Amino acid sequence: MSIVFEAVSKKYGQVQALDAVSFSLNPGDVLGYIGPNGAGKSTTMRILCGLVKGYSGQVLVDGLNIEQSRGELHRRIGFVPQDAGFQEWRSVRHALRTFGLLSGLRGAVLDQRIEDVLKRLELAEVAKRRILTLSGGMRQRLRFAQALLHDPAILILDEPLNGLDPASRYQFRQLIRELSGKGRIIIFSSHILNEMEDLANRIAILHQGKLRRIGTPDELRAEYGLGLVVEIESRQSAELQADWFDAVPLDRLDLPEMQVSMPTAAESGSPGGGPRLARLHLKPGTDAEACMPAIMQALAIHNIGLRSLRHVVPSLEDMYLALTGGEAV
Amino acid sequence: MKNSKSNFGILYRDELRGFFHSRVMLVLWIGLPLVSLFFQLLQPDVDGMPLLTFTALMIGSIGGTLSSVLMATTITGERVNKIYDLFLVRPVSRALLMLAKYFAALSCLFLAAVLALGLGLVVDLAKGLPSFSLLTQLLQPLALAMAAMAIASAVGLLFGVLFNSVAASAILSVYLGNQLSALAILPGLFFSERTALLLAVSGGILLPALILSVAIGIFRKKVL
Repeated sequence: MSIVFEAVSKKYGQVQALDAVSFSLNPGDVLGYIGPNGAGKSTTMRILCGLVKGYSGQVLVDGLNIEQSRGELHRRIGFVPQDAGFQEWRSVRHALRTFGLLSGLRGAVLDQRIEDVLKRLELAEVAKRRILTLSGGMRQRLRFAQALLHDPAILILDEPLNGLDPASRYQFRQLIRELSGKGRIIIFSSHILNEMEDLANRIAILHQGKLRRIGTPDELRAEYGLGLVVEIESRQSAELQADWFDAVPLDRLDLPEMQVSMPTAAESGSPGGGPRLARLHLKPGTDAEACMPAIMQALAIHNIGLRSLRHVVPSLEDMYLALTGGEAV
Repeated sequence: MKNSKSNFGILYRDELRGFFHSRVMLVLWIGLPLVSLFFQLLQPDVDGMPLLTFTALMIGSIGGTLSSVLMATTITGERVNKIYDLFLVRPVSRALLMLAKYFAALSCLFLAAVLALGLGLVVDLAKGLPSFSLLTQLLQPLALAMAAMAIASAVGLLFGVLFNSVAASAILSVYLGNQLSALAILPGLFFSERTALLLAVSGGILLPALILSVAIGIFRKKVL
């Protein structure tokens, strides 16, 4: 099983939703798909599911053109669309039965698959309830359940973590790992980048319809050349100020440039209102160790007691913000 | 092809089940026989027209209006709530979805019309009128009612596909559905009984077919 996206472009009127997007995926790949709203993530996924037509380029699943082999490929793909609704008069079990029948499952196999997904997604207790009465989280589980029903080789998940509580997110992570371990290809988009970094073995960053980067998290860091991040945690609250670091003799210490991002009180966890944790983004190629004395000097001038000072590998969020100029995911 | 046929059957039965849950259909199954009974008991002066034919016209009009609103609001609501995504990622075409919905609605309307006109027939039989001629006369009113309702339902489906506002699709389908369904009734005013029936049945098949073709063509191109 493989997926090949070859120079796929799609326009909605004058809006270029996708611009020559190419990538390929193999069994076991878990692709985290990120980009700002309107970047083309959902369009990519919907093309792959056969829900969007009128694009240029070609999409091959296991060597078959998705346009020419739609019926066959439907059986290999499971899709969790973003915010897809259900006819609310149905019960959970009835909805699964209908989707199972439409996917070609029959008889004892269908019954067994329904029981399996009800149990796996912890929906067994609400199987007889009408969808109308389900919470948002339960409905999201039902979206998962219908996608897993026919045991597809490819799973496409558009914002699958929306509406899930922490316990359900944990289950979701377990499920993704389990399916990936079985060789399934999984593509998912999410606004929760640290969860994505945790799950995906490949990351694709889409911006304004163009695929800016694709690779493993490590490959992306190296390719994009993002510098290390120095994290400064002070003992006292409300003490670190961004402009203090302007006074650091950057030239002399071979610290050509620093980007200073000061978290808000809420982000830094400081009830006193001021930031306690600051992150300094060093320019790519900068020796973090060499920067430390200059940073410590700036802190000492202002009598800041340090709790910790360390340099860390930039997160997916750092990469994303640097690449897209800070547009919301 | 085999897949399409079997999936049509699944969707059709599924839609039937949905309509059984719908209060509008309950209103039709109970309300239309009551309308028929009302006319039988009241025996209004219908200017020489057979009472069952007059009842059929009323049933066609009421049933058509309710059905067109039901179709329009259901389809608009389901599109807006992205309900079709989960069907269309399976071997189900957009045309199949719409046709299953349309024929399921028509089946429910047929049942309502048979119940209503059948009740009229029973009342007539109770009055001791000859059953053979009544049975013959029942087919024409039934055909007229079904033709009117088939046209109105197709109009409802078209507006359901066209508009993203439930209110807009409901209002327009009430208005235009009713106007167009009169095309099935009009021949009765100008032609002989046999010709009028033929024209009504032809219109009840061809006009919905045309409207459905346009609606499905639009639905195929819609971004969901």
